[in-house]
Amino acid sequence: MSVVLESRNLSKRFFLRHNPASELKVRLLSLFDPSRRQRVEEFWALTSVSLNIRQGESVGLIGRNGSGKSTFLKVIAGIHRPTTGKLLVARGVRIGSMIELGTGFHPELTGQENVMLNASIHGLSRVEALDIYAQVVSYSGLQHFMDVPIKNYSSGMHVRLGFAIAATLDPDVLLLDEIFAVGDEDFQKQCVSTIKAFEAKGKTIVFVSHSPTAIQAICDRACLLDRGRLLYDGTVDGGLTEYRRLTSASPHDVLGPVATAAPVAPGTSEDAELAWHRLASGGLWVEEGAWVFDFLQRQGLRPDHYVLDVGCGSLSAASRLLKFMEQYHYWGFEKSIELYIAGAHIELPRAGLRAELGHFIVNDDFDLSEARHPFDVAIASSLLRRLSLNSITRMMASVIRALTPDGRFYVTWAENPDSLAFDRIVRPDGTATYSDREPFHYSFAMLSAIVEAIGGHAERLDDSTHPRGEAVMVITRRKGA
Amino acid sequence: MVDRAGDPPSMRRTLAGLRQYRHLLRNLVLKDLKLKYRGSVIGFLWSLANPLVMCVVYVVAFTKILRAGAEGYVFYVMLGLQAWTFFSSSAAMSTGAIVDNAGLVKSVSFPRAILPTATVLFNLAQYILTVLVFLPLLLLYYRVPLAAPMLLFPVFVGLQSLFTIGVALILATSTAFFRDVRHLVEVALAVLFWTTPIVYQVAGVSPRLRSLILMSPMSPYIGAYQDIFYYRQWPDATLWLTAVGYAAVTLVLGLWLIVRNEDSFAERI
Repeated sequence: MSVVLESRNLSKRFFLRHNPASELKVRLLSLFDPSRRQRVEEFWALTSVSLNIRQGESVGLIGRNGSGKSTFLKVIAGIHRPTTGKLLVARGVRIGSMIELGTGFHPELTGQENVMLNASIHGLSRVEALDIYAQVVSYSGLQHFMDVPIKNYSSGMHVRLGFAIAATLDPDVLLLDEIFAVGDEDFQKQCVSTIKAFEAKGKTIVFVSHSPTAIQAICDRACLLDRGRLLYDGTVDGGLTEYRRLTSASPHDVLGPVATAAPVAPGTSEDAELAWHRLASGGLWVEEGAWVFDFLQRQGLRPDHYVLDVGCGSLSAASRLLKFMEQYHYWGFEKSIELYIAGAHIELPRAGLRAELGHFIVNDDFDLSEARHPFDVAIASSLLRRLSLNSITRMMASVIRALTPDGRFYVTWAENPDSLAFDRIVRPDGTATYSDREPFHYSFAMLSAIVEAIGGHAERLDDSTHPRGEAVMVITRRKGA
Repeated sequence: MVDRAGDPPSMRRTLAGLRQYRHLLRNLVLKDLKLKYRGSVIGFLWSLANPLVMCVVYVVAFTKILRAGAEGYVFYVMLGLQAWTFFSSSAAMSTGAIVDNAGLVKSVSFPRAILPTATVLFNLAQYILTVLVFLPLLLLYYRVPLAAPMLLFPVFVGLQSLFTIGVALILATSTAFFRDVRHLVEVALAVLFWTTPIVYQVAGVSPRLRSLILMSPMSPYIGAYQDIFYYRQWPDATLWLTAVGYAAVTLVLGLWLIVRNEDSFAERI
């Protein structure tokens, strides 16, 4: 099928205006007092979004609030103009810009008058509007209410009429934003069947919703946006999984529960597996910790070694290692303070441990200068998939410098078997990795070259036990380097 | 494939859009007319009451209190007052034409110039309706003989409408960026009212101020109505020139302004 919409490196910038200069007062006062001046903050609602939508596809746009979904829809609808990049539309394709159902309805006008007005808002002539009127009425099922002012409609009836117009306008591409927020079950079924009929006619649908059920019912493809970036583009199930991972990993939504969950007694509960800090690393919290512990033991870890756990996250490995190692011999490093706090306040007490048994370093730039002792063993498990090559270089250089001369640094990574392949790779666990965006995959040759460049030596280990199926290498200091 | 943003905003695009969306324009005007009179008992009569009451006030003030009114003063005042009401309510309403329709502007794409234009046409419709009621009555009451210059009436209503649309486009656009415009317009309208010969005659103005009064933006249009109905004479060349000139300049300026900013309304309001 041919491409009907193409978004090419599309970015959209908005300006957030503090002290908006649309008030003359602000302009005048700013002449005398610079602090009163309008401050304009750039806000990129979309950054380099590239995707193609083919005819007949039903694409679900998912993402958290403020992720850029609606902005993207509005760029397609021609309401916003891209700041950079392009949005291309196939010649002759009519786009139905039903961003919100029932916009332009006036409460004092009757249903009939509103249908006629709304039709003309969407560019229909009087004759065309009269043509579709009967269809709109029968579709909406509001025959007895057409001469009643819309202000007397329930919110469900309101949407019903709006959707009836959207469905009857019969565009080639239908843009829908959160249409299932209101309306009863019957209406929702009707919507779904109309959209299905639309799909059957080979029409294209771009659909924004927070409802996984709706996305599953309607879409055959999901695109996940986060902070204006396209994080995932693929199957509906894959997209929804990534979306759940994202929402549960967001510290903003769940910092509250961290505090309230703190006194949780040691022991297990089924909910524990679903806590955000456990999901933040992509689930597999228990498996991950168990693997790190078993693996290091197999590699000959002794309690009197000094061990560094890079990207210790919410302390999945720490809750085992702290028990095994001598006091103060475990060092954890983590970038995210929220994850560390969740680990220290929820997971360690649950395991009957205290953070004081080891040392923890939390900072943004892999600064390990606080470490008072060189490390015999270091490990970074499932960390590289979240780091770009630059960050990896910095992290590795920092860790190699902190090793004893015979120290061993174990690293797992999502492997790209071919340095020259840049396609996404679907992992056995269903997640996908990319060469140029999170979660990342890399080839061994590439990583090994970096390690060489910063004074280390990398060797691949034959180990296929990692819970995420990541490959393992060991890095040592190059003699004389 | 066609670049969605490849057709940059231009006068040509806007004018083509206005043509394509003429049904929307018509429906918006009809909507406002319906809404204005729906639910009120005497409906359209309210539109007649406003100029009538204002006229009584000015007649009392000028003929009874100041003792300055000329012959047929009521006729004279009514001519100017109705045309003025058309202009001033258009200007005042147009400031909200875009900002008050934020919901629509943010979710549907259509030529934004439609909104202020609809406001002006709505007021024009009311003006024409009141004129149709009052003008024949006044002509009969004052036994004004019909004269050839009266044929020019539609021409000047047209010119005044174009001028008013220009002003409305400017005001609607600038209100989206400066909310103070609303308040400024109220003040400016008060000043403009008294610098336009509506309740007084140009002949009574001191010669030094006379040319200033004649250059006032609304003077050529109101002056024209008085010329053709009250004085029953052909408007002079200066009046023609200013009437056409003002309309052309504001219309071009207004279109240019709204076309230039059309794409940023959805972000600014």
